[in-house]
Amino acid sequence: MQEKLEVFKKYVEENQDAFYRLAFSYTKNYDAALDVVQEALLKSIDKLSTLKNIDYLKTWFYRILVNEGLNYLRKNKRLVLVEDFEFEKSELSSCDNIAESIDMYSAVQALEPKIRTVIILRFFEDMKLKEISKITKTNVSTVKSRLYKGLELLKISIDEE
Amino acid sequence: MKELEEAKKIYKSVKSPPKMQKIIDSSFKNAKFKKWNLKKITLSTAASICILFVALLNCNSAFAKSVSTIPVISDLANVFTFKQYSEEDSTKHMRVEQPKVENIGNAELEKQINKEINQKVEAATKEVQKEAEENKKAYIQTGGNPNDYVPMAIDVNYEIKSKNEKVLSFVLNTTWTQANAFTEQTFYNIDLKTGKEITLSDKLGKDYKKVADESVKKQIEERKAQDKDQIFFEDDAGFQGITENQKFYINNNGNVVIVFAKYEIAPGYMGMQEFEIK
Repeated sequence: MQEKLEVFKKYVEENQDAFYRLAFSYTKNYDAALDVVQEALLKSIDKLSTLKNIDYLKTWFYRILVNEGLNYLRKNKRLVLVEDFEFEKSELSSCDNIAESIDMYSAVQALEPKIRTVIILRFFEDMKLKEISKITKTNVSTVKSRLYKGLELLKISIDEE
Repeated sequence: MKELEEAKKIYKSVKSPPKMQKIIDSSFKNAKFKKWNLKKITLSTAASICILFVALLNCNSAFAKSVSTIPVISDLANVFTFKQYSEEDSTKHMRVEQPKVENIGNAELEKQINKEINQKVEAATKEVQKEAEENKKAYIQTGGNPNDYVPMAIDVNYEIKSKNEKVLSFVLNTTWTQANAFTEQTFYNIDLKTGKEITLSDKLGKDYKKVADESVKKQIEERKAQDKDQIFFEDDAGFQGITENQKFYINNNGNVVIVFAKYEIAPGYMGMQEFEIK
């Protein structure tokens, strides 16, 4: 158990940026994103003994994190937090067209949560459809349909600009 | 697809703030505590510890009858503030209100309970002092401004749950706050006559598990139906029946109250969950 806990901690530390980004995509608020990650951490540490195979750590933890994010939205559906995004200039200099990229980014963030989750995990975190299906506890065909729905919506929202 | 590639760069430019590492550390520290607590070794760094003592007063029947008609229980058995002090400096805020029991009708058990409270309080305060120093040092070493440091806070107090001719039930709260607050609870339900801990089967009968499970499940559904903001974890993360070491206390009605810690069966914002088994 102790060993498992250490593996888990190392994994969390190495991937904390990714977890924070995903949480932020639900909360749109920096502090609330930290809360979501923390809730997911405490819960998963608590349930770590139920994870039989450490190879599934990634999908297992993402599933808890996504659930926490959706819980947050359910709980705060009447609360709309608007916060300006702060971007690192150095990161953006590689974008061909910054304005267009930010539009696309905002469009993704504006998608319905379940569709957004799939788009983010697939295109931003480069996950396989099978992994996403495990994380969202849905079958691969549902993941695919959400993915296509998302892409369709993104095109629409871009065209509207 | 090219637009998504560009948006990805923006997405990836969001980095977790320095506070994240602290949150990770404190979360895993709680894990360490939890393990220790299960083995009942000592208090560790967990944020909050609740200890509940239930002392059943088993008087002989004639005596019990006479006290039940006249409410002079306070003379008979009592919980009072034994030690009260506070301490504040740049690393920590400490406030302690330590209870002590007396006249519970079993000198040996009384001594044992008081000793145990004392040990828990001492261990917690010692731990906070050590922990607070280390945390502040680490904070400054990693580039934090000493003036921005949020001191660790520990608050020890107690609350009487029920007090009548049969039961003396109170809870000792040790709340530890810094980055978060996490509640750990240790419950003691002691039958003074036998000198043994009261079990759920003593109170709810042979089918206590079935009785408690059904009641908790029913109450979860009722709460969800009444208020949409009441969210409980589902499936394997949610309530799956009471455990072997289920936490409970006895309330003013003499009923068992099943208690779940924060995060145990519901998201953190839901806090601790209590279910009275009627």
